[in-house]
Amino acid sequence: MTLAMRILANREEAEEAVQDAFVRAFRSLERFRGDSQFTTWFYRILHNVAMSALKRRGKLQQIPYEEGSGLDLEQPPDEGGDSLAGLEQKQLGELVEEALRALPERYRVVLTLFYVQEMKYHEITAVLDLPMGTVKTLLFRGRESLKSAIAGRLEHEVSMP
Amino acid sequence: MTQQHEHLTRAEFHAYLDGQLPSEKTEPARRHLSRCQRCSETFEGLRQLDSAVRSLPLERVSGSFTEKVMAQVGLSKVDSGVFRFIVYLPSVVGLVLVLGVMGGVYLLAGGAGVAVEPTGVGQTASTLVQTLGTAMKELVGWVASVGSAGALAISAFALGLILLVALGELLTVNPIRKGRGRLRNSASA
Repeated sequence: MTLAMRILANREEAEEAVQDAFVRAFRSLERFRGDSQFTTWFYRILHNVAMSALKRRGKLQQIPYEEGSGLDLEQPPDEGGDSLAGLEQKQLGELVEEALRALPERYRVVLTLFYVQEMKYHEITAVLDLPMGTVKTLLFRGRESLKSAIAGRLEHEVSMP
Repeated sequence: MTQQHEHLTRAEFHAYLDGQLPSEKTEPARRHLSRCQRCSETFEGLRQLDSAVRSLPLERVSGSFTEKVMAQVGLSKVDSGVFRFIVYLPSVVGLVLVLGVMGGVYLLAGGAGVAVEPTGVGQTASTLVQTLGTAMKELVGWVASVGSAGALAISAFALGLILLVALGELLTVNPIRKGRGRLRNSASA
């Protein structure tokens, strides 16, 4: 459900997507070859269903894999630790949730699979049908984008009277 | 980070955080982080972000979700007692007919005239046995009246009903059984 919510950002549509994914998985159980984890196979179906729903809605933010946040991953980061220390847990949660929602869909998906569904890199490659290098890049850039988005929001909050 | 004094790149920070940095780079990275304030602050920021994303609450489906899915895959009806009774009714009727025809054939072949005696296990049991005996006799009389061709037709019809239910059951259950087998395999892999 969390993955569908991260993609569709709408509870009703997300639940419909999960429901649809369950039905599709049940009906195509015969095609499950057992050479991957069932959860990986199921998340792949769910991802496809949710992405189709997003396309139908016309809100898909497509990012070419080569492009990213404009950050060069082979360079050291800028100075400053963007420390989140000092923020209350609730405030931090809201901040992260808000920043995550604002990220392009591909980053949201990879971050959700990695953090929420606690998948390993190779499992994410199987769900998204992407090469390992691309998954790593999306994950790293997704994190960097999330960090920048949170830093931006923190600065905005500080500058507000 | 080719030298120990060089800062970690963004990619190296993330790989180190996920335990994915190649082994030959891990120790120099750890040493660098312990000496470089700039990098250790960056790493701490990333670690805090990691922890914050991991502790986000999970989304839950609504209470009626399971019911909706089961209805869509057509399992809820089969699970309900009334529907199950209706589905299996032809099978029960078929079995009764087969038993009736077999009993009829046996009795017509010389076993007729079997009297149902109270068994002495109590009045209720005795009444039940007598009722069943009367019903059997009625069925036997009916089979005798339709003749051997009729009995054959009834048997074929009854077997057809049983086969129909069995086939339906097989078609419904088979994909699930196959899937379960593969689920077990994937879980043990």
